[in-house]
Amino acid sequence: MVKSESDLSSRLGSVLLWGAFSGVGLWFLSVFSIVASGEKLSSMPFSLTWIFNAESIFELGAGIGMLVLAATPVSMLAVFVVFSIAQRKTRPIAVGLSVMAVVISAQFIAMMS
Amino acid sequence: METFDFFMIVSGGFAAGLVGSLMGLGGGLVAVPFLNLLMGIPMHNAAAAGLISTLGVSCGAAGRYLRKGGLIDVPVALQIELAAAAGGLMGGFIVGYLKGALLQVVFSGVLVYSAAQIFRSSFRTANSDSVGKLISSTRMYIAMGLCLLAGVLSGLLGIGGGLVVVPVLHLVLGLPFKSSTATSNFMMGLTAVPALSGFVARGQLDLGISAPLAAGVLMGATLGSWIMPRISTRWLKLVFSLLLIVTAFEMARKGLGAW
Repeated sequence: MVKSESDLSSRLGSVLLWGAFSGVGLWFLSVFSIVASGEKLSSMPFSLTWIFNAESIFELGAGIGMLVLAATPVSMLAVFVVFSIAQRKTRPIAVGLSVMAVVISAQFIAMMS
Repeated sequence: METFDFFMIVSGGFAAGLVGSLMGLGGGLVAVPFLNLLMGIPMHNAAAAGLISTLGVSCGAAGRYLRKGGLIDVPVALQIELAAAAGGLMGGFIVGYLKGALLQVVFSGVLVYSAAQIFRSSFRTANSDSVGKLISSTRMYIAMGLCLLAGVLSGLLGIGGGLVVVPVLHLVLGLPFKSSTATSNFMMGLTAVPALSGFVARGQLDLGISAPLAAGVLMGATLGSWIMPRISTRWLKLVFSLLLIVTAFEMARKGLGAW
């Protein structure tokens, strides 16, 4: 349970670091395995269908790794908003939700295109 | 050959992350010219990969700053981030209507501006930091307007936008310089995600190119943030600003040649 501002700051930092290293790590290892098996490097345009039509565990891993990295800032924002709700701070709640709305709607547009 | 290119991109990303963190920038400013000029990757795909490297550097660097505590004012950062994220979303979609050659020319202009900023910062001393003060709503609106512009640039060129955001935080909002750099790092990732959406929608985000770049950048930025307090970066900044001028010239030459 996050209790103070410094607790929150440390928790937000952990979310960002875990997201970045796990997302990039999974993505990197998956793409390396694909390339090592003879696939061309610049033939992997990302879209939602990339994940649904994945033919191997590595293609799936590459897509999921990318999604984990892209979802990291939103997860961090979610932690910030939950903390602000618990503290009943209306302005940070409004600002956090507004930024989340822009980022999530952008991701939604990208995935649905 | 593909494996060789893969490790070339990892190395390029590593250099971009290392130099970027030593200069207080995202990785895009080095990564995009590297991919476009040296690896021959089209400008739009290079910009998309540049945004991924910015996202990686932002999460890595801001994560460390947040855990250390005291450097990032999250509510203030999020307030101006609202404008930067909207700008990033706009830039990511506008770039779809622009030719690669035009982007190269614009990018070369940004490189010259960056070189000038880095050259100036090499003469900045620690006590030139202003003290944080209460932020008036007028200053906040000016900062939001400028961050909207930074977001558009970020979406257009695949860079973090720190070259605009850091001076805005420092000079307009009066944050101390170190805090401005850390806060800008925090904001870059939140700008990169909406900026990426246009590239993903057009199928220009290539997982094969972006993965080795992101991994290299993350490793380079981690090493850079460890080295930075231990060395003097003045000479490095002077050499790097010269290198940026040469890269700008080459990029403008290619862009104008293809026009």
